[in-house]
Amino acid sequence: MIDLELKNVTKRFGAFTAVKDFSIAVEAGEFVSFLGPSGCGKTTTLRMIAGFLEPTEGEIFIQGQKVNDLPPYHRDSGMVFQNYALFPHMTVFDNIAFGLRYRKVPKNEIKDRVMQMLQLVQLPGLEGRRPAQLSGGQQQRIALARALVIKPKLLLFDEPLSNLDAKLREQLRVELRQIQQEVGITSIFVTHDQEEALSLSDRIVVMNAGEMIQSGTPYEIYEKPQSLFVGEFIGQSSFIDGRVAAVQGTETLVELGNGLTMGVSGVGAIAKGDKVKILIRAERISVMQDSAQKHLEGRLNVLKGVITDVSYLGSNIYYYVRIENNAQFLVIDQMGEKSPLKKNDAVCLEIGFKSCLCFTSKTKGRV
Amino acid sequence: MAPSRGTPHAMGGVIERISSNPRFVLGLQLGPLLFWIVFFLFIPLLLIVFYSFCLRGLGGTIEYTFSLKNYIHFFTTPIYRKILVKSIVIAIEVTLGTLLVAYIPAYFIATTKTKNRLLLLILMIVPFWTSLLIRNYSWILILGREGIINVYLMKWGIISQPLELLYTEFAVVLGLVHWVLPFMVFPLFSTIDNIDFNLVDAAKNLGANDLQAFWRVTLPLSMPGIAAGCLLVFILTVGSFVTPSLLGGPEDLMITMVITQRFLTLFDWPFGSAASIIYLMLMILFILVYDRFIGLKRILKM
Repeated sequence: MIDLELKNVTKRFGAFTAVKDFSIAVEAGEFVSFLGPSGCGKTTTLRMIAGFLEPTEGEIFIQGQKVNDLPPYHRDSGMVFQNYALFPHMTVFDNIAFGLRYRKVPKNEIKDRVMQMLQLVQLPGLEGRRPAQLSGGQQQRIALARALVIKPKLLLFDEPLSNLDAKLREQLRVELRQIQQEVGITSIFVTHDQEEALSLSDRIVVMNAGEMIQSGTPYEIYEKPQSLFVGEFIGQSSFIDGRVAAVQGTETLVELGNGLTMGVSGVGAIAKGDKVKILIRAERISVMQDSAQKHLEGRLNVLKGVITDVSYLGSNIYYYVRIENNAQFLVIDQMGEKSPLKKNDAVCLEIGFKSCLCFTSKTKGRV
Repeated sequence: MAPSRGTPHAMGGVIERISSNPRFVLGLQLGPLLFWIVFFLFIPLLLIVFYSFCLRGLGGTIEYTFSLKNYIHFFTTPIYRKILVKSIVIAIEVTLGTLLVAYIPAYFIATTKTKNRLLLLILMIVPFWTSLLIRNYSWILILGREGIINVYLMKWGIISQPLELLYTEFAVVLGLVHWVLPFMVFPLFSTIDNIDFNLVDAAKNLGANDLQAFWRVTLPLSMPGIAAGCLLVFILTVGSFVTPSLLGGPEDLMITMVITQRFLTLFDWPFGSAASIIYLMLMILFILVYDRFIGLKRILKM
């Protein structure tokens, strides 16, 4: 069953187009993230679904019902805001019960349902507190409880974790996913944090400049970005310019200049002489001390270079490597039990064919 | 302070010694303020208290005896109690009226998306640039028997007799609302401006319609501004003199008019002083009650 459908939705503010021809169908129980840089139209889209904004063109359906003309208070969507938006003048109990009072729920049932929600978000016993007496994480859990207690048709998240510190964010992310699965509610999650989107979603919609750029599972988005924008926006990568030297079966040879050549996988609309950009995920490159790897010399996709900078992050380490044609590479290496390489070390980078994604410079689309 | 010891400049040493004396520094800081309070508030007030226990002699002189007669006279004469009650009733009417009239522009200015919010706020103070007297006279021109309201209503045949608008309690309340409006708009504006309108969205999202969201979220969150504005307006109005004397009828006497009359017309300083002290005590009592129920701390925090 489709719980939410947007058909060719466009939103203009004067001459500025915030959302352009946006269409999506969300299955019941699905967790969909809108991911994109700030100003890409993801929050505008969410606010149109909630009913705070009216689409300039297009239609929005919630569980089959067209809601374009329905005010927010008749849409039955539960929203969780970035700054929690708990009512400061009410207790936790009254905050959670707020929506129930407009649904003519009898008093004792309100009490039961509020307590049940507090149990669900693991904060029993806090019903008498004021929001100001709670930590940020607690406040956001109460906000989630307040949205869930009305049994909404949709759960809408507007960057709900971005005001929390890193550790709490991760913890709450896991809890959020568990609760969403437990309740089985269709959810739309707006975020600019790729890690959040990747770990939470069934499906990610990448947006830029008001348009949907790509929609797919987290795996598809990360492994098979259809455009340079998606590849660039998600993950840590290096880019290298080149020109197609030859196309052989499923592999393409790319000349990088300075006599360097790389092989990339992928066959598409590409011909000899085309300009391309190769994207290489930083964690897919293996880095080795140059002197120890004489046997690799001269092989394809083994590039020589010098470490220009090192940043040590505990569990992994970032190497910034300049290869022979002066292109910069970022390499993320797991620490393991190795001793780290140092600045100015000469190194070899080995890159698998499949880890090199090739985009044509002309259309920015993937080959 | 050790390095300053033994400096060769004697002047520097003196200043150093004085400024290192915390009591002296405190005195310098508080001195002007204390002087002001003692000479312009405390001493005049004591004089009034003193006079209030004296009696009026022949020809407006003062008999220096200790007597409670003025106070007893005030409380045993029904007309004074009536005037006191009337003053409070008018002040309450003005406060509620101002709240209603001021909330709309304050809300509008706080929530408008135009860049000229400052200009709109300044426009709210423009009436203050003309003197209170002139503003009251213009109400006379508007409300009088020959005023524009009556003239046009009669011209259009809506009424045949001019309405008695001027010299009524209504005129007094109207004039006072006009006068105190900015005192209500500003605290309201600053509170509403600080409301997080995500809260209103959250309320609507949870099922409250526009009116319910306003009633349960916006209005309670404007309370600090409402409390501050009402306090200011109430105190200003109870003590108002010009507007009720110009726009009010013989029935609309306020306590300030009694005090003025006693001092200036009847030369009865002792009774005027007693009335002033009663009025002052009433205001202090009012503020204490207000603090007890609403909390002045919350207002002062704004």
